[in-house]
Amino acid sequence: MSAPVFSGPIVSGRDPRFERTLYKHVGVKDSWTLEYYLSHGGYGAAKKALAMTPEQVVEEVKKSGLRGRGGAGFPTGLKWSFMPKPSGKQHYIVCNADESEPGSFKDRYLMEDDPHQLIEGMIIAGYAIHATKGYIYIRGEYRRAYDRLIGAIQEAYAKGYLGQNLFALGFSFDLYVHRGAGAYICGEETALMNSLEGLRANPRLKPPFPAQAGLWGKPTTINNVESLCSVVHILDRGADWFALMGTEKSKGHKLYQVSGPFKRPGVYELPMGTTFRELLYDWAGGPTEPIQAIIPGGSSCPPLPWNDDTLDTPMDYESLVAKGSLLGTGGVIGIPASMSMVDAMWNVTRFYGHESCGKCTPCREGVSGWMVGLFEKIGTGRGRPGDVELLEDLLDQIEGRSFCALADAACWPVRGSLKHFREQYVDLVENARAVERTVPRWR
Amino acid sequence: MPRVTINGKVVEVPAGTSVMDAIFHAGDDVPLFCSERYLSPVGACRMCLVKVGNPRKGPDGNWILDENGTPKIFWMPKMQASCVTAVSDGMVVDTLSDEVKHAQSGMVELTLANHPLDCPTCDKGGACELQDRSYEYGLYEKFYQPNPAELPLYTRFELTRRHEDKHHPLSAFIVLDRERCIHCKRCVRYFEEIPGDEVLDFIERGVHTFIGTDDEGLPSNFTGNITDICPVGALLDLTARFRARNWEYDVTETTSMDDAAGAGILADARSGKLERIRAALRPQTSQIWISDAARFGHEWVNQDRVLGPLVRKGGKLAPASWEEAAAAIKAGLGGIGKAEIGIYLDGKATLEEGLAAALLADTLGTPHKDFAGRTAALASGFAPATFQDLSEAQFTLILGDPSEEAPTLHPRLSEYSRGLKPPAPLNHGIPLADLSIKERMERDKRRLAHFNTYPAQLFKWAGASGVCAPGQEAAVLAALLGQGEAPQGLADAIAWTKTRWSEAERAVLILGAGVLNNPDAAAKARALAEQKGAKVMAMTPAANARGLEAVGLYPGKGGLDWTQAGLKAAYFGYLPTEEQLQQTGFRILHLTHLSPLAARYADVVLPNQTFYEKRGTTVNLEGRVLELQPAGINNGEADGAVAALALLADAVGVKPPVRLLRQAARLLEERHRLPKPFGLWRPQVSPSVPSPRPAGLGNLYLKPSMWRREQLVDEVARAVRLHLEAHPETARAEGLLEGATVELETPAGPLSATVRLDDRLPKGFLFAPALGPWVGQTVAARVLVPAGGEG
Amino acid sequence: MGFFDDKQEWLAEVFSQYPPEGRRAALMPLLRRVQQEEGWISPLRQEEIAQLVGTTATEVAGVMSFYTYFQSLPTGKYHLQVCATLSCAIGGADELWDELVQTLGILQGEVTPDGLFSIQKVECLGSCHTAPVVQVGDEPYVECVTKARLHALLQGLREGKRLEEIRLPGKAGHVVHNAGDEVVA
Repeated sequence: MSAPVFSGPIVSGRDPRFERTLYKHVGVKDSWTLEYYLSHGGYGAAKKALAMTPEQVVEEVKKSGLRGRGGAGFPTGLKWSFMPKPSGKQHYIVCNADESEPGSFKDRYLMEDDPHQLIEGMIIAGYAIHATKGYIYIRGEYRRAYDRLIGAIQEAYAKGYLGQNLFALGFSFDLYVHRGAGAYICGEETALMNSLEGLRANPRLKPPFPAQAGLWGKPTTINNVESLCSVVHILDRGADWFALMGTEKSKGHKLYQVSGPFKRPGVYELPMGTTFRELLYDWAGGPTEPIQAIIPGGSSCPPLPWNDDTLDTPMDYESLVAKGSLLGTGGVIGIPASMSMVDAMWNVTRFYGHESCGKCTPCREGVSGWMVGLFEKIGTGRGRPGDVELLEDLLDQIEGRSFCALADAACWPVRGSLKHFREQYVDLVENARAVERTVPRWR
Repeated sequence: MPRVTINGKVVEVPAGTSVMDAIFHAGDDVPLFCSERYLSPVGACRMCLVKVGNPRKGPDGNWILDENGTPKIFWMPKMQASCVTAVSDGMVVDTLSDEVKHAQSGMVELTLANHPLDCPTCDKGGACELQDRSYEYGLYEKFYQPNPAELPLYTRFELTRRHEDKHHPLSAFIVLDRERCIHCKRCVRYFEEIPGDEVLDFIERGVHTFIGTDDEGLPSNFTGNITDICPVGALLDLTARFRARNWEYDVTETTSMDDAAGAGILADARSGKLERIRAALRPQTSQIWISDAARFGHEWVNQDRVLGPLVRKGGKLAPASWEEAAAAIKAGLGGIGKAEIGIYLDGKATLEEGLAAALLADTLGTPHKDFAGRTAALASGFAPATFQDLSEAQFTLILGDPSEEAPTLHPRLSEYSRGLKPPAPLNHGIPLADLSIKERMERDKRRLAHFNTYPAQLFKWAGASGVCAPGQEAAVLAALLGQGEAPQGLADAIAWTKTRWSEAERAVLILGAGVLNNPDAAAKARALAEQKGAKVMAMTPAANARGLEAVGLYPGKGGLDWTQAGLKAAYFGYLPTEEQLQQTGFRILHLTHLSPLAARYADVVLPNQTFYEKRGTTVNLEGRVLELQPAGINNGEADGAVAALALLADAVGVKPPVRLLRQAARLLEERHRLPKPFGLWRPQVSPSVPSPRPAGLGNLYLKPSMWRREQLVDEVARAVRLHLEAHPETARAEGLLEGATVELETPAGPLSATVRLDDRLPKGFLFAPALGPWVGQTVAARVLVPAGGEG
Repeated sequence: MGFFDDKQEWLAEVFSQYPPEGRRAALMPLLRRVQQEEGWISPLRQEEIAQLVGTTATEVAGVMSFYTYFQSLPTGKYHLQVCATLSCAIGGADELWDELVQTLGILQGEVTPDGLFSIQKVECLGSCHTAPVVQVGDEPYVECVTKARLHALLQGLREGKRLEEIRLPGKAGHVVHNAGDEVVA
């Protein structure tokens, strides 16, 4: 490779103009304390925001082009602008910290090592949408993140950064942490609200949208942890700084995650549009064993075959859609060649089957029942010719017909694997062969 | 109104209508499982997916046009669940394309995947929505079996079906088959939305989700409705289990006389036996909800009926012919003046029977006429409120216990407390997916205040509520009128109620028998209502009170009322108390069942019809005329009061003023201007106030119960727990121990009840279920505590 | 005596986090507290929670059974939750599970005779880069669980050590690769 020339938008972590912000303090000793945060300019963005009008804050976020980092990629500023004008009704800002998409673990360290960054993001978002109360819905298993958040919130209250009249700028804001208890569906924003209200976490009907009637029927906005943390830096450094990073429609920086057989799996903060090659070789150190496919953005994204075409794909919303996949949460999982693709998809399908809430027929009977059963049948060597076609047919019957996107999320990876690795399925059913699990994986 | 194109047909429907209802309104069909009338649509079953498109406006504000110059339709990328999608102007809906059919057949296949194939032994077979929709929409051949030479394919699911509890009794009346459940959630939503008891829910998740309860025996009096709305055979009526296949039933739509609200029921009979009661669709009153008593309390109808006349011969009742009965009556009445004969009908008598009785009494010149359960203050003395009035009221005040006294009101009050208006019917009737109904709607407690002599179920929806002692209703009303101090402990509740009452432009007053039987309280209630032109729902113990009062069936001057005794001869259309029987000279009992009491005292017994067997009309508490149709029940020679009273007239040598039902109907139409069924009838009732009930006879308060004495047989007798309740202090004074079984004498007959202590009850009274027309009255307690009767 | 009788202050604190109309939101915090302290949530406790938040036992059961963390059967003193989802499966979670089953001699739903251990396969815990992962009760994760680390963990727990006191061989805790700089926290 010739020496890269860096000009125009920043689309590489090697671009000298790129600077880490979200994860700048992750891993540093005591980075989660208020003292540390303040010594690194903490709460400056919040003070700045509170001196602006809420509309100006929304405008700034709109201008930055920030899109929701929870997986769906909906523009954050636009989402905020759906909130009604203040009318005496309580508004709520909710942080979706239920990070449960397999392959995703970026929000965890934001909360563990930089909880004040999230609190600051919540204050700014709350101010922008006239919400004086906020909840962080954190997945129940994130114990350390929970402890650190609670500690940070106590510190912030003690310092007057939460509570009444923040920074003497007239805005009051209360923040609470609510723990989940193990349900992937709570990442769906309406299911999250039901869960927070103490109901079964079934997704709700839309409309009404949360901005009209959310938590306890009040106007509510739900944002992902990374989105809220990004807001801090957008306010701090300006929308233009943010928009200089990334591609035309996918702006800013993103936390990419690498898991599977790579030398240095972990979280990498890189500009949008960075290629898989840069992420997986330059930063993650390359594979430790032959890889046959990657799931590009968390388990719901269709897998792509491991080849130059895939590796040179920029990681942004549009490029991945063009490749027939999705950016999702940016959680890249490498699937080794020693593992059957069918086995990998069986695992993923079992995951979605386990996490289906059971509300709607296609997801309950289709994903949770039939698809899981069919994978088990094929995977254990009881498959018969025709089963692959049946599986494809089932996907047609389920996809796009369920109540929420969980069933779709279960179908996409299977569909992607059938597109690129159909022969592995056919091989199993034609020869009534079970998936091989002879390669030892545990060290 | 939005104009919507359904498969090429343009229809106009009100804004907010669901696409599903627009499709039905247009005369087309769409399959569904989870939607149900009067429940919130949820979009869970995904059977009703359709293609939906809309025109769009360009930046210039004009419609974007297609090549033909008509607005271009932008189809939504995914099919939409029509039950939860609202129509919009210009919307285009497609339910007939292959894409839609594929979705429908796919959803049938998925729904059937884990559904057992036990239709041949399933009580729902033949009336099963899943069966019907599978036949209509499960187009497997078309989509999955293109080769017509192959055998028909019904499913491609070949994995082991889910195995679950198939015989899970939810209560004494309902059995749940978890394998058959298709998770439509109608039953779960029903409990939360209609009775307001969250006693049923999904447990677990995903494919393991099942319906369950952790609360014992569904603690609600409105459980049976889930057997009607279950689209499959997962929830079944145990009282009707394995009695017949659905197509064998002789189905009769009639009116329930279980309460005064006039619920619509379907009486299902087979081979002359009444086997099952279901709710009929009756938007005016019960919608599709009936109480457990109205549904499950039917077994008695088939048991030990009086099938022909009985005459006392040699001290014993013996079967006789009608002629012998007539002769016995003639002999028994010999020497008794016509004006000394009493005529007393049951409160469930029809208008035709009431007219026949009233006219015969006039002919005989007797003032002794009445009907069981007539209240001291006539219900007709109050301007009746309709359910429409209720839904439009800003405030409602209840004195009584609707859940037990007129259970049909409970679901309507549930609708009211959620601020819902009864849905406007479309071409196909009641909307199947009414988008104004949501899951877990907030109940507006500011709309309701509730006072009763014990804590009532509906206190939970009231902004203010309180318990007053029996007889203290007048004091509560006086305080509301500003004429007196509030009874102890009720000052705040009454103050709030008073403010809300005066603020409301439209208000409704709901009165129970406790008030209606207390002339002082009733007069104050009328004053309160008239103060602001509020309308009143009088929950009379007699189902047809308004009708029977309107034809004049209450005592004339000097006449004895139904609670009194001492006549030389009387006709009773029901079983009076032992005291009354003892004090009556010659007793003609017109009964459906022969009790030991009747066997002991009756001189002549005539076979009567239950209300399920009657043809005629009744008037409910709204003043609405409702029809009764006879179900195909074998009742031998039983006949109604019109025929029995004609026999009586013949026996005393007068011409019966009414001999035939049709004659009575004609008289009602001509003389009383009775409107057609479902019309409102507001006749002027003579204001002569009958003799007041003697009050303060004792300390046994007969509290309302939706169950009647005669219904307590078999499973019902085992399931319905009878309690003698008291404040712990009162119980101590009376020597009653919690949990003890006691025997008590009530006007409804002897009862065995379990003592239950409740410190929310007023002190000084014992509470026992009335199980009949003596509701809201206080009588002398006759409680026998058997030795060692604890537990 | 009720579980929450002597926890009134804590209850008030929990309820204060939600608006008056949202009393039911306390359901999950209350369930969690019982689960943490008693290892399962008995029908009696469900009833108590139902009363506290103003709903029915059925509703509590419905919510409770929805979430993986809440147990309706008693668990061991140390409830080991093994992540079985894709990245952990690639990292050998199946073999780890088998080792656990063989070592402890129990299956999911059972408790070792000494009452110390119970095991459960769970779905993605969100630590895919440190696969395979085990969570003990409500404690922070045990990550990069090699065979040696698993046995050291079990041994430490048997000795009654608190999780943070147990020295595991190899990498000590969680690993974050912060854009090139390896950080071991």
